[in-house]
Amino acid sequence: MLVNKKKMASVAEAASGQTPVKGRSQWQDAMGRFKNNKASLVSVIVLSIMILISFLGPALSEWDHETIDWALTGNAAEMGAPSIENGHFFGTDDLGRDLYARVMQGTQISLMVGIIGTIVAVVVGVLYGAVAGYFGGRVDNFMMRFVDILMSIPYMFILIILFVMFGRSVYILFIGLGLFSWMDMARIVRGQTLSLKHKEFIEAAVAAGVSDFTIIIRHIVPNLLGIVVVYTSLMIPNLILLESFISFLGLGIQEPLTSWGALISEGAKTIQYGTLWQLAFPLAFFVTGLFCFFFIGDGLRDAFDPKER
Amino acid sequence: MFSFIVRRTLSSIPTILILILISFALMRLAPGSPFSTERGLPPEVLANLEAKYGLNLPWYEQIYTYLRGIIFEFDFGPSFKYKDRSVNDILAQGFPVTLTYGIWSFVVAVAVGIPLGIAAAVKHNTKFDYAAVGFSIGAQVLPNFVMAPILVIIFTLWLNWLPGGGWNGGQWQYLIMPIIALSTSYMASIARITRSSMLEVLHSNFIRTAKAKGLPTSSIILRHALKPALLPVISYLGPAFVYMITGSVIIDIYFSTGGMGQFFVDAALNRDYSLLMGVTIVFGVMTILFNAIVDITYAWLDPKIRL
Amino acid sequence: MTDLIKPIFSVDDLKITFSTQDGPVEAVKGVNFHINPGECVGIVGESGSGKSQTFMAAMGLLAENGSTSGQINFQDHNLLQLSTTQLNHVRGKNMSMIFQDPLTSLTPHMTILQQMREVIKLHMQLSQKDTDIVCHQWLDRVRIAEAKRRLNQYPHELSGGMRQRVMIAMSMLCDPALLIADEPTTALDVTVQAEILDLMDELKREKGTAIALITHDMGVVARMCDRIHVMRKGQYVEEGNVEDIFYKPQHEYTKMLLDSMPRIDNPDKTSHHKLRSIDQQTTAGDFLNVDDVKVHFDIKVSDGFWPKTVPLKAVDGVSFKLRPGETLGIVGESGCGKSTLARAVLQLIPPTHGTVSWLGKPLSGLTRHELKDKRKDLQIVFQDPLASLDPRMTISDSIMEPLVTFAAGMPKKEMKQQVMQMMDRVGLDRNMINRYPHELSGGQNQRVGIARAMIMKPKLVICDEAVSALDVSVQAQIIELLMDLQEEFKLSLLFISHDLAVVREVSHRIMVLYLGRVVELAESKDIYANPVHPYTKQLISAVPVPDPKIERARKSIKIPGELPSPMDPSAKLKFMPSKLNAGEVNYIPKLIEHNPGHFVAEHDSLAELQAAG
Repeated sequence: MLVNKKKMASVAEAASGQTPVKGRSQWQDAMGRFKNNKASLVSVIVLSIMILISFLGPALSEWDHETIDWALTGNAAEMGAPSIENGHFFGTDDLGRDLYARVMQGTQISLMVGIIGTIVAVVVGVLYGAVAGYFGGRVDNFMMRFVDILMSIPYMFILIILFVMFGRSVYILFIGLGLFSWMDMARIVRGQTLSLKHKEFIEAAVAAGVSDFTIIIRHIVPNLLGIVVVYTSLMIPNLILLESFISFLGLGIQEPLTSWGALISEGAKTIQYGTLWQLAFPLAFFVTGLFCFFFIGDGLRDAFDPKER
Repeated sequence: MFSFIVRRTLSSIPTILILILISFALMRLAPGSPFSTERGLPPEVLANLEAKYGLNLPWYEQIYTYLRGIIFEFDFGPSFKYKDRSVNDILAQGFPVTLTYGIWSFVVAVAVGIPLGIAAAVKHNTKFDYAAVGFSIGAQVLPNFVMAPILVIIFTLWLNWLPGGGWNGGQWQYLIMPIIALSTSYMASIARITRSSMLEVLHSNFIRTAKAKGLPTSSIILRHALKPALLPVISYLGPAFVYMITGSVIIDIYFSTGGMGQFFVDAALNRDYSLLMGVTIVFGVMTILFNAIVDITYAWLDPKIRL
Repeated sequence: MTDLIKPIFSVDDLKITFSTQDGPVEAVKGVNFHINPGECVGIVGESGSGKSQTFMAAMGLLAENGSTSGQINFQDHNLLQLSTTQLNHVRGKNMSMIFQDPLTSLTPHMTILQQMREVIKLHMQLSQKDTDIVCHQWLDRVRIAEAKRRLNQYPHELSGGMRQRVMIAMSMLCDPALLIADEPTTALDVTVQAEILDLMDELKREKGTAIALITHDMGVVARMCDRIHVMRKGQYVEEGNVEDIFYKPQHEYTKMLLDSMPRIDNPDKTSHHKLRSIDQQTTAGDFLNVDDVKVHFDIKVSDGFWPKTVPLKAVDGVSFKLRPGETLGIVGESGCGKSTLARAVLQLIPPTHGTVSWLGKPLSGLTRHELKDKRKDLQIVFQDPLASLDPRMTISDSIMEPLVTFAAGMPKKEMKQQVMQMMDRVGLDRNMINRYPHELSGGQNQRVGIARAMIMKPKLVICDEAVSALDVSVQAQIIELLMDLQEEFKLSLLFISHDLAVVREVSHRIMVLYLGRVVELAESKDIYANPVHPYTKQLISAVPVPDPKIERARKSIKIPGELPSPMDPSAKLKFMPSKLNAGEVNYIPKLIEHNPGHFVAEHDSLAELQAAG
């Protein structure tokens, strides 16, 4: 029945000779441009593979990320090198734990920190910025002054103090990083909202009697989406960097869990003993992952803002 | 202009106060006493220690004493951990080190990044431009904690040219790797921002006017385009400064340079709250004052906000 | 005859191609022309016709993706073959150029003097002292008041008109043989335009400088040019001397252009549409009544140590009544508060003072909910067709939005039906229904804006510069559409524009605003035939007429002095300096009924004002 109805309608439309031309929205245009950007497209593929490996990869190995291979302990430099035979594909770390499993585990944590932290930051930032921008005036003034103050404080130190005081669980890391990264997003969204608010199509909607709430939902939020997507994609690698930084200091993620930063830190401490693989594997993952995120972000920015360059 | 400088400087004061209050509040909110980690302290000794550090007073008196100490005597109180040393002593030891390589890194990042960005923009779409863009993209994934071990592998382990750490009174051999490690990624960011803002300025109407006057390219760039192109770079310097200060912690840890960062991490691991606060406040005040300088420079470059 | 004179500038078979993502685009398709010494040649065309590109190529200012073939000869050199260094000896010295947008064409961080000095230092051998003297003389020459002080100011401290004068002074410093003026007055108010054009004409006569004038405005051409080239889609469709083009146009396109130009001197000559005369018996009654409306904004100014806020009186006590079916034209130059007034009438900006009543009931002070009911009858069409449509909505969604708001119960199908009908009515093809604004032309988008305003069958539509951003040919079509709709739906219109010729064509009555205050309000015919207020006289005299004989016989009226800042409390006495001199600084000129229905603000006589300067 349903199919029939649809068919009828299309037949009728064709008969009237008034087939409407399908329009292309800005969103479709942007996605078209993004797909034409080779670097971004390759990055998407590489990143997808990396995510897949990090979750499926551990199944291929007989070792997990915390079990110590007592056969190799204390002799990592000579016997811990990567090998297929003993099952340590990436070798072992100083304690004799399997590096392959640890890199997989670190990749999971780093990606999760990046993504969950970003979600926290985006939610807070977009709400804060949109409210400040839409209401304007004193509210805006006060809210933005507060952001200015927060931004001129070296928040990393405060963040570290927080970790020291409230323990170093993964959840504190997610939320802490997110809560210290929303200010940029808030500023961008606020600026965009402010300029949108003065656009004539918003005035036209007010003149057409559309309510405040509907205007925000129907006109402002969809028009913010592009810029939020772009900055979100650029924020993920930055949060990964932040987390790695803290973990490198030994103040972030706690053993036996690990992350890219913590692995690089361990690898970096032992390079003078010639265990180069302990640095090389985590670093390769880290660099590849960040490259992909940055290329995707750049690609999205070019796609949504074609006048750039 | 003068009144703007005064106003902008004055407006840093509330920010500094808020910073101190936040750090203080965090310290007080922290669960447990800093001495509870030391095992087997009898209660009366603990009470004695707390009295010694003024922790038994009501919070408003503590904050008053602390603030008064900082403002009038520049005194951050005694360290909780290093029993015989005050926070001031420790700061006095670490601060000059951090300042030395910090300033150098900053100068290198700016002095290389800006010309690189300008050159890339002027030679837009040439091989040089692509190389500069390649470098700045590559350096994004080479933050200080990645650069530091890589440098050590190359210059210390392979080439054996430079010492792998230490300070030695700030001799140049000991400075090179910290400076490169700290400045590379900011240099790249500065170059990228300069390039894109220069490109934008070069497409603006007043550059067209300057070309129509018959001015040679060099004076178009230097006299007409440079100042407006630097504006976004100037506003990036504020955050860049914060990142560099934060990055100094890595440098101190990895190269054992003995700067403030090392004490900060020690303090963080040992719950030495007064030292933590001292370091945070010194870095914070530096940041806030630097931001004021950035704003004033910005106003000086842009006649439209010369107030 | 003309063959004996050697042209200073000649173009042979010039082609300009831009490589774009969608393949090469030929902007100029093989043009030939020349300019003789001391001659003013007009290049006329609508946006996108490629009229500027020829000269951009000559000046070496083409965009990076542009390439050329053919020849541009200037003083025995083929400019297209010169290197940038060689070209730098020509441009700015023998050939100079001024641009459309004076606000952005000067370097913001350099003073006027620094920017002028540069040119002399580059092209002439003069001592620093002589250089400064020459710069000062030229600023006087282009009639910038207080030249000495202006020299040390930054561009943003000068008005748009002054900046364009600085541009002219700067381009004339080395006595060039050719001055290229690319839409030099398009961004300026009519009164300023008149002054700039007079200045250029004077320079041409006194210095013998040849001028290439690139413009879309047939009126400007009629006033200035000796010969004209009409350009369309990269080609010259017609060329000839000014009389031939205006009185014996051959090409359809030229005819159409001339035909579409609204004529301030004779509105009936070009209009294909007659303004329906309004029944004089209808009284305004309670239709729309605007009473002493004021809109003040708080502006932060830096004055002394702390910034303080000063009220900007954008609209300062405006009253008028509108009759059903009537069109009231509101004219004034930039910053006169006409758009703010429109928004205040619709309560998009709440008035600071005064009332707007609609059908006898005040609109001000209503809650949002109460106001929503009224909005059905009150609609607005904006200036920028693209900005007034949500870029993420299809045009049918945009047109449908008022229906969704006011007739939420209506079935979707019926809504769609209504949208289709409205699209037919405003001349949009039905198959464009799913298109997005960025896929449409400016004229089409403006039709969408009109459709959205009309879909609830409102009683009053405010057109805020609704045709100003459009090319003349499109402009004529949109005006026609508006007038047809007015007739069909018995609409009342508030037609806001800076273009007096357009306003005259469509309005029954006209109100002239100056810095937020009404200076004259009268029947349309009356105000053009017998303007009373000096400002009205000045405005009308400044509008160029696209008829060279009439235009050149007209004299524009000049009133000395710059446009005062609206924040200056004495601005309202600009046309009544006698009160200012008498010390009555707070005197407010009253609106007096000069003739029945013809209101004029108190003022000093024109002769007195001109004498004062």
